[in-house]
Amino acid sequence: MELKRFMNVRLLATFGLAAGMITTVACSGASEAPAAPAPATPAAVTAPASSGSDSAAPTAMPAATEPAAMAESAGGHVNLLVTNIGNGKFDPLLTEGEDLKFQRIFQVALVGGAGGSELVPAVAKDWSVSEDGKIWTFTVNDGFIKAHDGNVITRDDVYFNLNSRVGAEAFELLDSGYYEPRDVALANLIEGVSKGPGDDQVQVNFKTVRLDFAFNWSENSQGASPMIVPEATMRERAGETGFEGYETDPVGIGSMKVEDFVLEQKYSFEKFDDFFWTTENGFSEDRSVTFDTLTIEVVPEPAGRLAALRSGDAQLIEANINMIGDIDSIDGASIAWQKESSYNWVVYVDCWQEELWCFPVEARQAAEHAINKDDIVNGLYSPESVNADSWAHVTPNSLGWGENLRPRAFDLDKSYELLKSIGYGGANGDDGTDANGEQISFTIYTWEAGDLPLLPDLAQMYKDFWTDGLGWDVNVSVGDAAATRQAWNNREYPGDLLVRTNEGRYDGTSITQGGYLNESIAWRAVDNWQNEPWASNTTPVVQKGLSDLNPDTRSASYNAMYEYLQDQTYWGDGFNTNVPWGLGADVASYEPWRLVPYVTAIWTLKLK
Amino acid sequence: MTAYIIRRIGEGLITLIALSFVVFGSVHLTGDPARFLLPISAEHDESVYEAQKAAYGLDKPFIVQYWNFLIKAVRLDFGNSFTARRPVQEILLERIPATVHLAIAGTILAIGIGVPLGIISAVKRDTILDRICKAFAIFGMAAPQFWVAIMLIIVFAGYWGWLPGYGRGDITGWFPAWNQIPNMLAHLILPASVLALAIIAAIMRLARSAMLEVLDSDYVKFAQVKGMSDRVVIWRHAARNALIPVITFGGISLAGLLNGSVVVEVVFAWPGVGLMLLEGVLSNNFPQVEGAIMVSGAAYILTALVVDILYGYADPRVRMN
Repeated sequence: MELKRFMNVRLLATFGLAAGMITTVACSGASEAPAAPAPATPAAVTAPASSGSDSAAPTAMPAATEPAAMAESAGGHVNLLVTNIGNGKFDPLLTEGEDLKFQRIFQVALVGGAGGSELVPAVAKDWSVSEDGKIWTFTVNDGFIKAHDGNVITRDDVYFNLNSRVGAEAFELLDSGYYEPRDVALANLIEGVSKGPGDDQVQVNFKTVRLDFAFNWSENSQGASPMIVPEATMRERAGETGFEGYETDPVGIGSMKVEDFVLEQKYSFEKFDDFFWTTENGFSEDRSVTFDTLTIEVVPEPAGRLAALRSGDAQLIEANINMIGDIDSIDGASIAWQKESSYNWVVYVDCWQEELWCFPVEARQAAEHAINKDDIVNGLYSPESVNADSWAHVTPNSLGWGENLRPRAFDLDKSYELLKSIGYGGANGDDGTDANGEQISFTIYTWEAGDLPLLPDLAQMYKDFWTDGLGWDVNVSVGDAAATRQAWNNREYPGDLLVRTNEGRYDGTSITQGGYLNESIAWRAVDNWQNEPWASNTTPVVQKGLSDLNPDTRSASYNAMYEYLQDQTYWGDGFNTNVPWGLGADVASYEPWRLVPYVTAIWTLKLK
Repeated sequence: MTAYIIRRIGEGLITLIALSFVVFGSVHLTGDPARFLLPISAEHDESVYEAQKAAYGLDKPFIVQYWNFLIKAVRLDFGNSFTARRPVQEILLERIPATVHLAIAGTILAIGIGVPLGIISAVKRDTILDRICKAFAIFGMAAPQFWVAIMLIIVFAGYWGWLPGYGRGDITGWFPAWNQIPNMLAHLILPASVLALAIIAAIMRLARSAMLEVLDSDYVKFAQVKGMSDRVVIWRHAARNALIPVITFGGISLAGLLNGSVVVEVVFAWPGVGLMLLEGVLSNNFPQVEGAIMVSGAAYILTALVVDILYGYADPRVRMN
């Protein structure tokens, strides 16, 4: 009896103590949470960035957050939670990873971007390419762009940035061990970088035609290598082999400066008051942020990001379409859609090989006609998150898109007709055999992707369409992204399909060039093009399309080229996806750029 | 005893060398990082690829690469991370404190809760309290860590906002400043609870069965007959003897937790060795994977060795066998 009473007292005391400790810690933990932004005088609302390319009519898109009616304030803190942050390096050439989010917070590229497509002046006020497409000339906004350490950007700084990343100094840095061979891959294609011809100009001279260099050195590109840092800043941070000191004391020219960081995990920024991109300096808009501080932190688990949004700890979170319902359920939270940020890339692998079932173009075309894209958009995804209006990387707001590139209609009769025309599918085109009467059999390789969820389910739907509609024997293999990509590169999937995601882009020059012209790239669609019946057409069509330098006709040239390539169907019709960003209850608006998968236009984020 | 210790150290070293070979061999089966890391513009540009391979030392025969790895690993030099481009050793030194803090917190929580519950369960055998404890033990062992973690995040960090659901706060390194301790503890509670849950269950069951055995022994009955208070009987006589296997298990559990829990660290964005390992695996980052596994493996082997030696001191039958 005494024992029981003793145990009860002990039990209560133990749990009481534990509860007390947890409450104490929880309360002190809560007090560490960022304070809610203090009410402040509403700031002038800056006009949103230019809508970018007008080359195509936008498709119906989900309604984005409505900022107009919401009161906005200046000041405050933004806590941004993302899925990953790359390798954490600050040197623009050495930083790598899928998204490079923190680079875009404190750096600015040589050429500006607007809306993910249009190029606008930034550090360079003008740029042009020579008639032969090999020499790019950049004219620099010389003398008024200040870096966070007080250094001022000049033409010489731009020369330094180009020369040390793609010019002669890049090879010196390779020799010293600061760069690795992969870092100078682009430099290998360049004859040299030089100052001039004008006092405020720099030239980059390529060995071969390179029409997308300005785009690749703009804010619209995916890498960080176009980010401009003052030469003096970098030289002051010189180390044994290169600019090692920059990694501990990074300086940029962006709207925020680095305050503190824990490598690869958490980066804190503070507003930079001397940011150059203002209307006073002649720019069409003011890209200064309206809040004081920003923290960007890696939280891979969606539940963690959602919880932070729900509790008010985070103002902006990287989301995906599986999280939409959860975000909608949070009081005051909203979604900002980043349109066309990724696309679903369907690759008929190595079908230039004559012995493969997919060698005849009609077989590939038949496959496309057997896919009911409406079922996929409305059944697997939703119209607000996925659009079936593109071919491969050519989405409605990218260069060269046109109505003619919309996916082929779901039409099984057309599929049977195409198959019969090449002796496939028996008498009716539907028995699943090839011209030799053998069962058509292949595998769809895919992986789980963060930016486009349900890829394995999508592959399964493809399989069902082809199995049920055409009688083909199709398997689905879901694997690791890196391993699958590597096997594809190693040509281990001839006659199979790859269903993958890729980042959206405005200018598809490099991917088209890589896929159809560059003989050194393993994943190119047409390897031994002489073997295909359309050999006399493919290469000249791509060469012609990519060589149009006239801005007035370039889009039409690209469109004609893409129309031909779509008909060839080495790459299938696909989808593009709108990626959602979750906005906290204290965020008035955020307008991320389309056609890019990373954090953009952070200055458009306004707190209430 | 000396011979026993030498034998155990020798076994530990052999295990470590075997681990190094398995780790090194298996990561090299996962693909070619030199190819994987090439920018898209240089994919299958053979000259860049070959140069990159040479830069990583991947152009040498496998056995040469392994020997070089082994020689460096002895000095805890695992080379440079392919992605972060800095020494893996440096990254490990940044990540180990986070993992150790979490492991210690998880172990303290597991023992602090598991032992009392086990004792209560034994003392209150076949009562409703015992059944609740047993049900809790089954739940703790059966519930998947990722699910428990997500539930805790949703409830405590999301809906109630009581505790942070991600990260380590602003803490870096081993020792936080005094004013950072509440923040550190707040960030520790949820991940440590998840780590502890399965161990709590095991410790509870172990403590319960050991306690039941001891409570049924003659010397405990004799102490009760002598008129000693229940408090003295339970804590001075019964618990002390019953807890020996529990403490041993706690030590081994700590060694396991020091390996870094990939699931818990990923879900809670806890910047420890487990998260580092996952990052390495996802990017074919051989040195990072090798470094993380070798250090974790060495920590486990070392802890197990210490536990074995202590056990040998405590129980002569062990070293005799």
